[in-house]
Amino acid sequence: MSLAASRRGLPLAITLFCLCVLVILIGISVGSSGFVNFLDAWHDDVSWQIIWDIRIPRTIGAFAAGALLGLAGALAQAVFRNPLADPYLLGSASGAAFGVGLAFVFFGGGLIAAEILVQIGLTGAAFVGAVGAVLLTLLLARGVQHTMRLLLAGIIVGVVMGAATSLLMFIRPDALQNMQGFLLGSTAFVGWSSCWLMLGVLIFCAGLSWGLSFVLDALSLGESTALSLGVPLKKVRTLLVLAMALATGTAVAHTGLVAFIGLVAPHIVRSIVSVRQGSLVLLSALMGGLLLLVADVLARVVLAPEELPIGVLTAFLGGGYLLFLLNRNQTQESL
Amino acid sequence: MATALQARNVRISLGAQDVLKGIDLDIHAGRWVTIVGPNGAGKSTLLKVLAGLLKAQGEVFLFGKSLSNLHPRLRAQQLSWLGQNEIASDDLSVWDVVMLGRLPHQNWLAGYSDADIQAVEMALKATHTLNWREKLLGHLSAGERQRVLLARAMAVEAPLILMDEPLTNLDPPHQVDWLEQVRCLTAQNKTVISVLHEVGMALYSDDVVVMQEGLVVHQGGCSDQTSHRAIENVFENRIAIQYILGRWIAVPVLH
Amino acid sequence: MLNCFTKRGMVCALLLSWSFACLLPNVACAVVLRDDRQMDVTISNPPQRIVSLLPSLTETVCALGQCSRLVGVDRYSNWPSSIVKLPRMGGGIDPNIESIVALKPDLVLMATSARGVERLQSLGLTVLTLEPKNHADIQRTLRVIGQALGLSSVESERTWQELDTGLREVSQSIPNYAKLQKVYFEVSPVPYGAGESSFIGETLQRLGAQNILSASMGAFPQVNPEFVVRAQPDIIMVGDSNLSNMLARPGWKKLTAMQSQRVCTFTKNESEVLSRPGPRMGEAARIMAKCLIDKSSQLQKASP
Repeated sequence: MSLAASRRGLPLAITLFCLCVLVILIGISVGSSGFVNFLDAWHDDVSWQIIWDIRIPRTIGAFAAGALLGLAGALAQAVFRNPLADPYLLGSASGAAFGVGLAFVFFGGGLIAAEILVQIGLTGAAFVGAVGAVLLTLLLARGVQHTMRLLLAGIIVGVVMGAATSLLMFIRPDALQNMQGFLLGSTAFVGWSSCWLMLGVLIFCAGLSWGLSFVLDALSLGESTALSLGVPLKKVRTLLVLAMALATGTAVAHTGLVAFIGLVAPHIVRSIVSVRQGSLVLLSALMGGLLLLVADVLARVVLAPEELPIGVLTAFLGGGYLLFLLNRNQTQESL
Repeated sequence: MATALQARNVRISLGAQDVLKGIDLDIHAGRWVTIVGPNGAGKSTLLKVLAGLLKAQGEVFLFGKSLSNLHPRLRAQQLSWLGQNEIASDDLSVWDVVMLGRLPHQNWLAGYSDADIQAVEMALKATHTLNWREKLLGHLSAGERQRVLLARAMAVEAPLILMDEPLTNLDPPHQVDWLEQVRCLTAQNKTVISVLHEVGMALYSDDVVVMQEGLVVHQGGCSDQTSHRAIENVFENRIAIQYILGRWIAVPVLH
Repeated sequence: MLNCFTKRGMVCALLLSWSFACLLPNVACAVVLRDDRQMDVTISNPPQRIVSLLPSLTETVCALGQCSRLVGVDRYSNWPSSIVKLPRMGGGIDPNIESIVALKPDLVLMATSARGVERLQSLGLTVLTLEPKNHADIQRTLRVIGQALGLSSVESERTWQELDTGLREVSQSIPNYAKLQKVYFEVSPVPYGAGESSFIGETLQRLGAQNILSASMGAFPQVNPEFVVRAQPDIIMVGDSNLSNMLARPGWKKLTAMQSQRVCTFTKNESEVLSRPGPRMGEAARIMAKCLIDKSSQLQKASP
């Protein structure tokens, strides 16, 4: 990559990283117990436990989940060559909800399925549901070659899973409230193990995407041009779709369904810098992490000591940003 | 003369329609060949099949080797493609776009070599786009963009280049530039196959392939009278090919 | 040989004395309980700081006389009045992990289906999950919580007997003309009704009423409004905020129960008592009995 290209992305990366660190520090300091001074906490066991065991992992977890969603969003927009693509396109959101619904319905049922589900936990159920839905989409579309077919299959899987989830709620209406809680999103239940897991998946998916980004660059010139350049388009597209599913499934499993981060993060990055796909994916991850961090801190502070579900905040913030973009486009008369 | 590209009984149906109904072609190395014909004759489809972008029945041979057996990377090193109407991302710089043309020669994660830099610079110079190397594709006009995409195709340094409507959006001076670039390429013994709907420009090429309704009706030199008659024929004699000012040109026939 | 025997003898003696000690009331022994997740929870000492995240569990702790040990409750717990001043830890579905940990509880009581159970456990708290759904569950919950709090089983049994006796007395106070009525109890406006196998349905059964929603339909089935019209219940029980919704349904205005004013509406407080499977089941029975008697006395006057 030319020096100028890497120079374009670097200042933004550094800025985003610093902002993330700043917001993480703020996030660690605020919560329902109020502002906790680090120095005071050193001496108080309970305060220390609150900071170390609760606030730090959930704040870093918010960053990791947001970064996973931002990365998945950038991948989705590159693979589908559509700026309106988001990571939930291939049915992962509905699949996660269905998995969680199954878990709620069978909890305490005394069935064998229930014991397995208790072992896997809600998180596992959501992850299996999300990745399972994407695999089902790939199966229905018979591969990744035709993006239109893939998109249609994703819509079908999403709708069918949604209907199945509604059926589950009909059978067990008392699980409905639990389901809503999951759907609205929260970092409240993220501990250290969840945090490490998300960071691990983030590093893996980021590395994979960076390494394969040359294919996405070729793809940005058009499908036939990419093919003519001899890049292994089909294999890489499949790998990247799976990486997208892994990243989305992991994020959704731990923090619920958070709207707009995957859609908006790449857009914001592109409006600031123009970079190649490799840098775009990494910068989108950083941006997504920052966005969810801000949403999480706001969610904890706005109605303290009660917590707003972060899904509500990201919907407001994301929707607001898209509205602003829409207006700006109309005044500029360009698209 | 060596044969760059050979097609034997190529057939393809897209959907319910038979687009190519049995094509036989011989294209010699170091020549510039243009495929002409009315709309819907199957020109672009044929070019895509020759480039290996569409799977068809029959055989295509690239420098003697069967295209279907060729590894995509080897094929990409020997065959360069410039497509029509392909939406390119606005976020790439001119340098990045043209450097992508070096992908068939680059190793994964190895970055680019001096040879790559040289090839890119030469391609930029040839298309007079060297000054724009840091500009973003989205900031160029359609014609300027087309020249950059051509530079990308040239950067591959493949012995065979296929171009589908390469003159789109180019103004006359740059169309002339393009002609000169093609002449340069053939002088280096590279083979160029283009699909052009501008018959006048097509007449500058060495050979012409005349198509109609999925079949090749004529293949021959551009100065041959038989070729001229064939061209006039497929266009229902609405054009006439005349020798004016030392050149063959096509003029519309008005009644 | 002699050494071995002596050693075994000492161990035996220790075990025996240990088990005798545990039979004495209020001695601190490690208790292992099985909660509704079918998991074994070990409580080493009787807990003094309890957080409860389910209203029926809060009420159970207070019914056993241990209200003073509660340090935090969920936002929906509101009985008895002494716990109203306690700090709120969020809801059962969305408990505030940080607030709970900050209170340093030695026992957390929550519903089995609540989120955050694993999280709280991973933070080192002792969590007991119980979710009573019927009369048998209430008895079991009383016993398990009693054991967890270090009370003797006699205490929890006595509390249960009081509840059971109370229920029997209420049932006996219902005159014959008020028995065997067909009742429809609506729980929420979808409509969801209380079937025979639900807690509410069990109480109704003990009061001698018939439920138009049989046990095969499930505990809280989603009811087809047409089904209710065809079943023609004698008495309808519903929360007062849902009544107008009922009248809007096609065919319901013409129900005999509607036309003869045999509809009982419950205030918000009464609805809470009725819907919580806990130690206020006696009061719940009284509310329903009053309804049955009131609406049946019209019948007695009407029939010769």
